[in-house]
Parts: sequence; structure tokens; C-alpha cells
Amino acid sequence: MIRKTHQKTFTLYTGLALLVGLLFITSMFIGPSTLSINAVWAALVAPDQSPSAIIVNQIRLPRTILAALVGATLGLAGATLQGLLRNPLAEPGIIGASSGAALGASLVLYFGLAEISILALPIAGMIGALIAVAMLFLLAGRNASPLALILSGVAISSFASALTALAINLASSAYAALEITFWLMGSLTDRSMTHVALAAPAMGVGWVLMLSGARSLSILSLGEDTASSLGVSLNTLRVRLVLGIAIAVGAAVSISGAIGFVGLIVPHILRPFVGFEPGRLLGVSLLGGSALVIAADIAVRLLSTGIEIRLGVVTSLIGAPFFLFLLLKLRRGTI
Amino acid sequence: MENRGGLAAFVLAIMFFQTIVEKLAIAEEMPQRIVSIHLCADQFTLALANRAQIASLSYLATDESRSYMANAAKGIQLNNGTAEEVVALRPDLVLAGFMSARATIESLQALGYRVLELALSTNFDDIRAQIQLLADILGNPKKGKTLIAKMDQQLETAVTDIYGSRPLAAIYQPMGFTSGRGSLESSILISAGFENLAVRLKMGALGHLPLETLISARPSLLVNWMGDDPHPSLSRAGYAHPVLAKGPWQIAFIPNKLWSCGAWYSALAVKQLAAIRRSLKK
Repeated sequence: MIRKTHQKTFTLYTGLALLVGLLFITSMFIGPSTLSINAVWAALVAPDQSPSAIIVNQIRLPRTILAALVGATLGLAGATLQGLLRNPLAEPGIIGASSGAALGASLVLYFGLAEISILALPIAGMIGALIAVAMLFLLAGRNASPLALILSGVAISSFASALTALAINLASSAYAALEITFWLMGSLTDRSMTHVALAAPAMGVGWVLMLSGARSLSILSLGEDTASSLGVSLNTLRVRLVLGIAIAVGAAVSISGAIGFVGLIVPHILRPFVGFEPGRLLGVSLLGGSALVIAADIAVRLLSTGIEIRLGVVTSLIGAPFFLFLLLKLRRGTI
Repeated sequence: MENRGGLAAFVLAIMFFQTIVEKLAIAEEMPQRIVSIHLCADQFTLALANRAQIASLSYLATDESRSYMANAAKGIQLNNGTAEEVVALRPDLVLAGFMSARATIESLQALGYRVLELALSTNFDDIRAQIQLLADILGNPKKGKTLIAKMDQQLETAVTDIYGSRPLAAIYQPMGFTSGRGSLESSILISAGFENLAVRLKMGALGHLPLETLISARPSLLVNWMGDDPHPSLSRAGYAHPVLAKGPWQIAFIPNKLWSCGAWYSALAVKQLAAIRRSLKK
């Protein structure tokens, strides 16, 4: 029995990893300029200063790496939140972590702090996300009903969005206002390796913190008392996971802007494949999120002619109806 | 013969009389308390009206980074463009413009004020027509003619050496925004003797230029007209892609205030760009 489960998990991981790999490679071929397989290959193995090499290595590669990392972060954070709150509707966007990060980052833009240090943006994103998640715990408590949780999330999100709107409202430069507005829509267009270097370490730290809680999350699904009796310290677990979510989501959002609903869709699709075990959902959601965001970013490039359609707009267009569908299912008691 | 002379004198007398009547009519209609609630209208008013005619200008009028006429605007009462403020100023002419709040304009009109809305000029023909229209309405047609002549002279010196192929250039604002057909930016770029990449790519007034497209098209100039904006924004914070700084192009920063309105000073942006074009060819 255990052996069979392991085999299934292995197949799932391999399948998802292959999917991410395939999408990653596909992404290297998608863009406004058409490049042949040979050109892309040549650019990757022997980079020179030719236009095609610059396009492949300095534009498409960082963009795809960021799509993979941001998607993984959002997928993993979604699965972690759902396990921790034991609620299938929890997601960084819905509970307000993304809006908190967005607020932190837009304040940095607004006050011009980004000019002091390039690190200001990710750090403010993390602080914003952390405050939002901490507030959620204060508002909704630990054993909140799905409805209470979502209402608290809506309250936090709305408040963060209102403050962000205030920053846009009072921005001294029309251009800064435009920048914040567009940045809030979420996009990975024309990001560079600098952005990768800026966000990847923080996302990595967040992943480690979240993944290290996998076993405890599975035990937690047996109930808090059982978990305590099995030696899981709930408070330590909570702090570790919340920190992990805040650090990873904060860094991701500060680079990409808000990309919603990834953390909702991915764990939901993958949950049946891991036997509804929250701990085992983490790793697969990381890969699944990666695949979803790379795919969405490919779609953005294929769909855009003239004015770019933003990545966050695409994921929300898919995600919002999905959220409604989940709510209906929840009301019927089927999840 | 005598008759003819008499007729000619009569006709001349009538024509003379008519001009006097027209002059009087204009003088009578000449607005005495002009209130502008729009940055572009502020600058036209300063250039075309007598100072005594101006009751108030918009709060942006004295902003050095946005208003070409900031110096001239000093000392004039400023307003934030609300109907309440405008009514309190007892204007006989209100100048608004594109992107002015619709509700403000409508409520002022409903209250019986004469409101003139300036359209956005996107080419130099529009600009000429707008200058003359405003000069007539403000009661100074001569000032309009002088301003147009000055602008045309600057435009002419900018384009004396355009022949054969034009170097390719792109308007490139932070985040990749560009301007194609039907935009003032494009008209300025083309008047300075460049070919506009966004037009070649059949883009409209507002378009988006991904870096990839820029790298494959290899324009010889990127024009940024936000670069001197002193207010904080991402673009100033070094978040721009490193590839931008390493391309085969030169990047020109043309002051923001020369682009914000289609006006006589748009010719100065043309002049600056034409000078850059000449330095490119060497």
C-alpha cells in the first residue's frame, strides 16, 4: 500500500516536472520576434551580442524563470494556507497577502524609496504580506469557518486596496500613478536577471520554511488535539508557515505585481491526486503553480497585439469564475 | 470715370467701416475675466491674452516640470478646477480642455458660464488652428499670428536637411509605452525628420513596445519625454532592463513640459530632436 502511494507520488512529480520543463522550453520560443529552434539553441549554448542572443538570454530567459518561480511560490503558498487554515478557499490573493504586499510595494514607489535601494521593493512587499497574514489570524482566529475567513480576507484586501488607491490618488507624478496601476495588474514583461537575483533568494527561503511544515500539516489534518499529542507545536508551525508565506509571496508580488487565484486553482486540481493529504499537496502545488503561470504567461504573449494584456488580468479572468464554482460546491457540501 | 472713383471710395469707406465695427465687436466681446482649469489652456492664455484679462489659472500652471510658461504664471491666482472655485472667480470665459472633469464642465455650462474646451492637438495643423481660434476668442488675433509665425520658422529650420531616408526612432517611455499614428509625440518625431517605429508597426496613439521588438528593429534613437520628471517613479529607480542601456541606440531625454500639450513650443521639441538627428548622422 505504502509502496503504491510512493509510486503514484513519484509519477505525479515526474509528470509535473516534465510539464514545467516542456512549458519552460516552449516559453523560450514565444515572443514578438520569431526565432528558429536553431537560433534559440545557439543563443543558449553560445551567447554572443547578437540580437537573437540578447532576446533569448536577457529577455525571454529571466521572464520565464520568474514565471516559474512566482508561480511555484503562489501555488505552494496556496496549498500551505489551505492546509494551515484547513480551508479550501484560502489563497494568498483572497486572504489579502497579495494586496498587503502590493500596498507595501506601492508605498515604496510612491515615496520614492526604491531610489534609495533596489531592495526596498521586495522588503516592503514582504512586510506588507506579513502584516496582512498576521491580521487575518487576529481577525478570523484559528478555527474560523470558511465564511469568516473569506470575510476577514475581503476586509483586509479592501483596506489594503483602499490605501493603495490613496497612494495612486495622491501620487505627485501622473506617471508614478500609471506605473502603480499597471504594476498592480501583474506582469512579467521585460523583467531582467536583476529581478531574478532580487527575488529568487527570498522566495527560496520562503519555500524552505513552508515545505519544512509539510509533515506537521498532514498531522494537523487529524485535528489540533491529535496533532499536539503527536508532538506538533501548533504555534511554532503557524509562525514558521506564516513567515514562509509572507517572505515568498512578498518577494514574488514585489517583482510581478498581483497575480491572483493561482494558489486557489492549483491545489484544488491536484488535491485528489495526493489522497487529500495536505502535507503531500505542498510539493506538487509548487510544480503545478509553476506550470500554470508559465502557461498563462505564454498565453499573454500569444494574445497580445499592440497593447499588452497583463498576466494578472488573465489569471483573474480564469480564477474568479473558478472561485465562484468552488463557493457553489462548498455550499452544496461537496468539498 | 468719376463715378468709378466715387464707387471705389464708397466701397473702401464701407470696408473701413466694417473693420471698425468688427474691431469694436471683438473689443466688446473680449473676455475680461478668464479662468483656465487646464494646463494647456493656462499656457495658451498666458501667451495670447493680456495679463489683465487673466483671473485665474490651474494649479499646474506654475509647475516648472510641466508648464513651459511656469515663470509667466507666477503671481496669478491658481485654482484646483472645481466648479465652486470657478464660480467664485466670476469669470466671463472658462477655458477647459481634454481630460477636464466632465461633471465640472457640465455644471458650469448649466449655470450659464461660457466654457471653451480645448481639444488635444496631435499635429502642427491642429496646433495652428487652435492658436488662431484662441487668439481670436481672447481678442488678440495678432498675437496668434505672431506665435504661429514664430513656430513655423522654428519648424522650418528643423527640417531643412531632410532628404532621402529618415533614421528610425521610437518613443520609448518607461514600461515600454510608445506612441504611433495620431499622436502628438509621433508628429513631433516625424517633423524632426525621423521615421517612427510605432508607425511602421501600425500602432495607434498608445502602443506597447516589448524590448524584444526594440532589439530586432534596432532604431537609432529612443526618445523619452518623462526622464526629467522630478517626482518619484519606478523608471527613475533603476528598475529599467539593463539591455536598454546597452542597445545600438542613443537615448534622448526631451523635457516633459515640451510634450504635455500640442502648442507652439512643440516646435522646440522638434528642434531639439532634429539637432540630435544631425549628430547621429556624423
